[in-house]
Amino acid sequence: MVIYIIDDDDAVRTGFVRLMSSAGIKSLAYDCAESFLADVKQETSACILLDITMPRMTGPEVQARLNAMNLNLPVITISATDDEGSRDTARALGARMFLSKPIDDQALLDAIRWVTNTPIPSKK
Amino acid sequence: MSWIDTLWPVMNGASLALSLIYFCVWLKQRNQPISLVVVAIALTSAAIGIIEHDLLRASTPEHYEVFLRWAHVPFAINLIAVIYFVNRHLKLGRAWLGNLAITARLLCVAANFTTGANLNFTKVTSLDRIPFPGGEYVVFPVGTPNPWLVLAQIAHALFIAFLVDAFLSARKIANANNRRRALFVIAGLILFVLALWLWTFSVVMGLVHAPLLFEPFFLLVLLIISYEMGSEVLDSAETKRQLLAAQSDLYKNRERMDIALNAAGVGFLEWDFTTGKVMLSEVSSNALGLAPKGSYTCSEFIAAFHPEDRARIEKIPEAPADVREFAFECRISGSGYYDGRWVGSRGRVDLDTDGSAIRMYGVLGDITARKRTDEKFQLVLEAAPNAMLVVNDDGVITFSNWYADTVFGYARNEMIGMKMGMLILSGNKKTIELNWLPNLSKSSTQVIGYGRELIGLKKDGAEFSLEASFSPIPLETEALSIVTVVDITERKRVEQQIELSRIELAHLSRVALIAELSGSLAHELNQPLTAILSNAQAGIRFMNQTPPNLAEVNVSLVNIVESDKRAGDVIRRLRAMLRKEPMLSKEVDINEVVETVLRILGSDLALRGVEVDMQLMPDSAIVEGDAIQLQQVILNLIINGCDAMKGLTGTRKISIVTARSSDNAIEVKISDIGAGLTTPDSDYVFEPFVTSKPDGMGLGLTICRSIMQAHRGRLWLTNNTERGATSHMLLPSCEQRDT
Repeated sequence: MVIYIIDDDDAVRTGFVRLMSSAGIKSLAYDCAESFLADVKQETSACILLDITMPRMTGPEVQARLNAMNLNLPVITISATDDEGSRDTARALGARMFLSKPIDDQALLDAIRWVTNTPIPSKK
Repeated sequence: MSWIDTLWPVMNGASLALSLIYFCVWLKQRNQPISLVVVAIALTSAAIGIIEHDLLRASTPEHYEVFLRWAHVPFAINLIAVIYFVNRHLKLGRAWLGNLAITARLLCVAANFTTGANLNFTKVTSLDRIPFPGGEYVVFPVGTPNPWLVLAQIAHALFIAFLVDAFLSARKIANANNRRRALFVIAGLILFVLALWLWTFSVVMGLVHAPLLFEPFFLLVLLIISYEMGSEVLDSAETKRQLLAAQSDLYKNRERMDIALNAAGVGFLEWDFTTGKVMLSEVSSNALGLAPKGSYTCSEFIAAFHPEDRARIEKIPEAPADVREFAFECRISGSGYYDGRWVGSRGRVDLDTDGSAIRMYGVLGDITARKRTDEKFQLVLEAAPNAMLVVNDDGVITFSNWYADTVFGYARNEMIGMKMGMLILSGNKKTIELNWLPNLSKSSTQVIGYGRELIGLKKDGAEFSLEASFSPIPLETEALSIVTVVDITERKRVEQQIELSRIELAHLSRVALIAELSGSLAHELNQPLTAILSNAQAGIRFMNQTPPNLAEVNVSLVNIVESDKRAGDVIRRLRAMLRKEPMLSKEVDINEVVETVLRILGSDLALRGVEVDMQLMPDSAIVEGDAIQLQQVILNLIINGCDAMKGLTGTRKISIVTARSSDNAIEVKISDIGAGLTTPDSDYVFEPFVTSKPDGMGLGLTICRSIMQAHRGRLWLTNNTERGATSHMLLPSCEQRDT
């Protein structure tokens, strides 16, 4: 399983990567949507962690581009702000989950498991 | 007819004429008995002449004896009258000497009638004839001289002595004319009397064969005396003529003076301190309210004045020795302070030899009109709503109005006589130099103290800030200035209050800005928090692995620390913006300010979907001011630009440019591509409470402008040629400020 992490904030991104690694999940991190879209491939089991409070390319555009590439990967939207506007954006994207920062590790892992129907190795 | 018979009557006639003349003079001037004396001299001269005439034609010695005897009477009277004339009228010669001469002469007369035929002869024995020129002949006596004739010699001698003494005294007469005349007269008298004495003695003693002649001598004496009297008459006529002329002049001058005084509205005043009499002309007495009787007693005069002013008038006679002039302005009695009549007077004081005043004289007139004007002037000053002082050219206060008394804390009129320099000081506590007077001769008002701290000193020693202006009033008599004083303590207090309010408002505005940015601030803090949480929870998982992956835990902890610091920075910037401090004044780089602002905004711009295009000038743009306040302005302008582009669908772009202007100032331009200004040329948007935001207060731009002004800069808005508006900030650069 691969988790695509897209967040423009370095610390946040690295944090997520470390968290995934501590949970034993492989992750690929990108600081902007363009570099992600250039790299993405259809995977059997993957999901996208997308920060929708990034400048430049907005969430809907990413979704549109994914559709155009015929990639059908579930998107978990994460947002620094939790307000009506963000939730609407997320819904419009057709995102499966909406999480607002700061994000609890268990919540994130549960979300990932749910959207990918993959069991996550539990903590020992 | 023989010429003797003509000559003698002529001489007698002359004598009689003169006696008549002087009799008429005496009739005119009864108080001059001297005229009678001259009448006596003249009459006796005529009598002697008649007798002599007869003696010259005498037929018998007995006839001669009798007539000669009677001749002594007018003889004596004449000589006594002459002595009297010299002593009493000419005031020459010692009286006792004259009296002796008179006594001797009287004794002669006594001897004349009691001894022998007459004083000269005991007996006339015969009469001889002598031929006179012209075929005439006269008689002369021959006989035995009377031994008592010695009395006559003594009398003559005494008479001569008296005349000589008179002559010597005459030399001391001061007036040259009078002296000359007196000497001439006395000398003449001496001469003729001597001649008479010698002649009669010679004839009587038989030394000379000639008739007794005395009438010519007496006539000459009479003529000399007439000359003296005549001269006196002429002199007195001349004096009288001069007096009349002088009187006429005086009268004319008096008339002129009266006209002049009347025209000036003043009258004459003369007060003789020794007699206590006061003379007033009609104008003066009218001004004083007295009946016009010309002459008044001292008490009547003083009573005409107001009781409170009388003491001043009474002091005038006691003026010190060096006071040669006087002047006073007083109220007259029967009047109150405001409706009373005033008189003014000035003039000279005459002093005695010991320096005490004996008399004053001058002019006096009604000065009520002028006093009313003075009073009106004072009333105007009294009513003025400002503290006003009138200061003379010595810097002494001559008047202070009620307001000024209150401001300085003195009682009514207490400040009069004080030096203004004791009440108003310059900021460094030195008294104001009063050489401002020459500058004020151009009559313009100067505000001194404007922009300069002046300090006022109250009566109780308290100091207060004030502003003073000086207005000169040039008068012919003296230079006065009106000083208006404004206590600016309250104003300064209010100014301080305003400054505090301004700081308060700027602070609140900053707080409001920050509140606007709260969304992005939350975001700013949220990012590090997220990273911290992720790292922490990862760390826990790594710890729970078997074996625990301490290396990863370490990395996680390091990341946590970094993120924490990042969050701390955000808090620090926030605190800086929220501080309420008075404006700092330091060297600030505008480029750094712009960069700090963008860091504060951080992801807010991303949230709003705004791109920023920065073009900062390459060299440093140093200005002097408060970095936080300048950040506030730039932040506000950027947010305004973002708000202007809210409705835009396409790309939203803010461009920030810093540059050096043509005159070396620093320029910051913040441009957006929004809708632009509706009124680009007016300053309407800078008015308080003007806003296009539904929930805005509308104070942002107002405060920004006031911050710019406090930095000696400018702020204005323009519409771009294409789309949007630009905010312009202009600040003096540090180098520029120094020049």
